[in-house]
Amino acid sequence: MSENETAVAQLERPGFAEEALPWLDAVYRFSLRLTGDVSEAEDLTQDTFLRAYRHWNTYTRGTSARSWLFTIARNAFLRGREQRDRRRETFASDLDVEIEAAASAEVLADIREEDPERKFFDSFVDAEVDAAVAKLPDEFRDAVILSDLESLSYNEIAEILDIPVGTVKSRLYRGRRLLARALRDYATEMGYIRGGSR
Amino acid sequence: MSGTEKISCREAMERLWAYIDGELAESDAGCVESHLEACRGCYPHYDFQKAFCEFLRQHAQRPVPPNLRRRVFMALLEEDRQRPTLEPGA
Repeated sequence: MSENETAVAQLERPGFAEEALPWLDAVYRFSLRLTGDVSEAEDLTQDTFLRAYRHWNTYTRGTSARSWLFTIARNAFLRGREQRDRRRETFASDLDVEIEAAASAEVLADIREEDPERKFFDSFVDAEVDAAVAKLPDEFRDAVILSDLESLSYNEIAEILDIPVGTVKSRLYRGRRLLARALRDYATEMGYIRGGSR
Repeated sequence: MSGTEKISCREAMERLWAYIDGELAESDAGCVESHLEACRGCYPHYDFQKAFCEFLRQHAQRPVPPNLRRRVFMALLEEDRQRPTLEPGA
């Protein structure tokens, strides 16, 4: 019997093992991005699943359990951080979505021109990408993680972050632009790509 | 929009991220796709941005600590032991 089948057989609350537990890896990855620490991410993951289990009766079966779990994880993380009085300054502003989309595209177009052989993509180890993502302002980082790293839809991200879809788009594009710039600057500094116009 | 309507390079670029993210309506996506197929200037941008997204996803995979699943499962069983089961929708 697999671990999941064991869970189905043993957990009392019906459906939880089938719908929620398969997202444990994704919740852990999300928690790790939020906290930046393996031990804290493990605690947050456990806390998230315990909260979800306690409130399983409020979940509508067949909807997106992943979004629901991510919402619980993020809220728990924010509450914990507030309690520790470590809230970072936030400074997102919701700019015009089309302008942001075009602007983020332009940064990557610049990189492409500087690096037609695509050395850029071979330049990094995971830790460098992690560091660049971690340095993004919270709002942009959350949108980038949920979209680019976890492949959630704009609607799901809007639900998790409790913001309008237009704001999701704006934060996502702006976050991508900042991330691309940071990675480009790093690759240029390290001599991986030649760097040019900036 | 019919999906075959011609759009400018600027319009294509403005919709490119939403297109890559699979967030455009079918007709809008058709317009962007048609533009990319025909435009030598825009296709490389699409190709590079798509590669950027794939690059981020590839670097996003993190191993889950081997004992975490068991730890969570044990916590849930303990919850069952300590609290009575709630009926769905209760």
